[in-house]
Amino acid sequence: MDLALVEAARSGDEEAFASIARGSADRLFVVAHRILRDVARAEDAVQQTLVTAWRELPALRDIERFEAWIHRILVNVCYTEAKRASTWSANVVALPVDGPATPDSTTTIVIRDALDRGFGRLPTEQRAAFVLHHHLGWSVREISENLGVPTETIRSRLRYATSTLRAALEADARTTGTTSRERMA
Amino acid sequence: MNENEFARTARAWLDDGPTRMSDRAVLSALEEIHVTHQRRRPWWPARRATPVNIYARAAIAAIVVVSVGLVAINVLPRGSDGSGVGGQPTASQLASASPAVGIPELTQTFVSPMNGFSIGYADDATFDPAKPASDPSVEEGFAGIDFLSGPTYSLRAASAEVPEATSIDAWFDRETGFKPGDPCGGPHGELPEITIDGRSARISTDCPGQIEATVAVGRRAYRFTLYSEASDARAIFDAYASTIDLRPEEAASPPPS
Repeated sequence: MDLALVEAARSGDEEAFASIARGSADRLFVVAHRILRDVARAEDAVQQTLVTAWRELPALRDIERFEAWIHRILVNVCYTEAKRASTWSANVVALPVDGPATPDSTTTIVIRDALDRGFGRLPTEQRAAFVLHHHLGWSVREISENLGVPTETIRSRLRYATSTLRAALEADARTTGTTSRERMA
Repeated sequence: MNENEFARTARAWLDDGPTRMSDRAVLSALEEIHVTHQRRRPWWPARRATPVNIYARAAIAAIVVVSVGLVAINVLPRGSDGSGVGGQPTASQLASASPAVGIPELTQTFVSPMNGFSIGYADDATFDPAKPASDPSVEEGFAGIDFLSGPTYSLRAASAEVPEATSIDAWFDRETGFKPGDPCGGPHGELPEITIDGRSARISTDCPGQIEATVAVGRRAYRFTLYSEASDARAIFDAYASTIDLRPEEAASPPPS
């Protein structure tokens, strides 16, 4: 992140913030999408995040914390977005038609479906912790500091998320195994 | 599936999916940003009149009544016995007919502990010096502002460093919350000029009950706002403004953000 741009934006330079917004939108969108699993709501969340960040930027004391700060806003906006829609609907991710053929694409689809279903059962707080940890690579401590949530809470959210997803995978593996055996019989 | 395999699988699953936000959505966010004001710590007051309290209103009313009375006594024709109609007022009587009602005599000097300026003030006014935000006695949003309370007016003063990347005019426009079409004030660069401490300053008198001057010394921007509903508010303001001594080198220098 260009700190000079952040500094200028903090001082009210709208053009500087527009540059930041253009440069950050995709990254924020990916995180929001992985948490919300919905393109339209992820875009809404990023829009809201950018507007909030612009409005509140003068209050940011340490511009070097901009990335962490804007992700915190994003996660909070995602919480609100998730609450707004009471039911979670998984997006169907289309496989690339001309993409590289994976050695076992059936397994990939099965695993993906299992993770989609498992993830859909997670509360948004657990999803956010999971995404920040596994997608952004933030440590438990970083998530804790950046979201302002106790370390133990983050650890617990990750633990629950992991066990739910593992359970979904294992359940699917059992079903798939049964189906395969049935087919073999 | 062990821990590492699970982490790898989860990462691959999370990496899969759309990675680009639509241009339309980005554009829409930028449009909304364009019409959104940044929330700034009100290091000086917004352009709105501070209501003059009931005592000040009573004082203004009393001054008006006394003034009218004095004018009536001194200007109306008197009789030859000096008690009624006819005769001409003496020079001294004419002088006393137009007293500088409400124009304070600024015999005291206030030196701002934070904002890098000094200013004269009247005996019957009191100054509440600016305090840092860390001071528990400071009302939220009012840190760094010097407050003066007079009998028919109040004055607030503050200063801040303007970032190098921002023009002084643009910065003042933003800080004062000016937007094109705003009937109160105007673009900073187009406001009438006055002189404060020998420097070119701008003055805004369009907002009801409020007169405001802005001046910059280098990158330090000052704002002095007088709140008054008195008819001679401008004269009061000019009296105060003429005593301002800008000393940016003495400012405590906490920028507004």
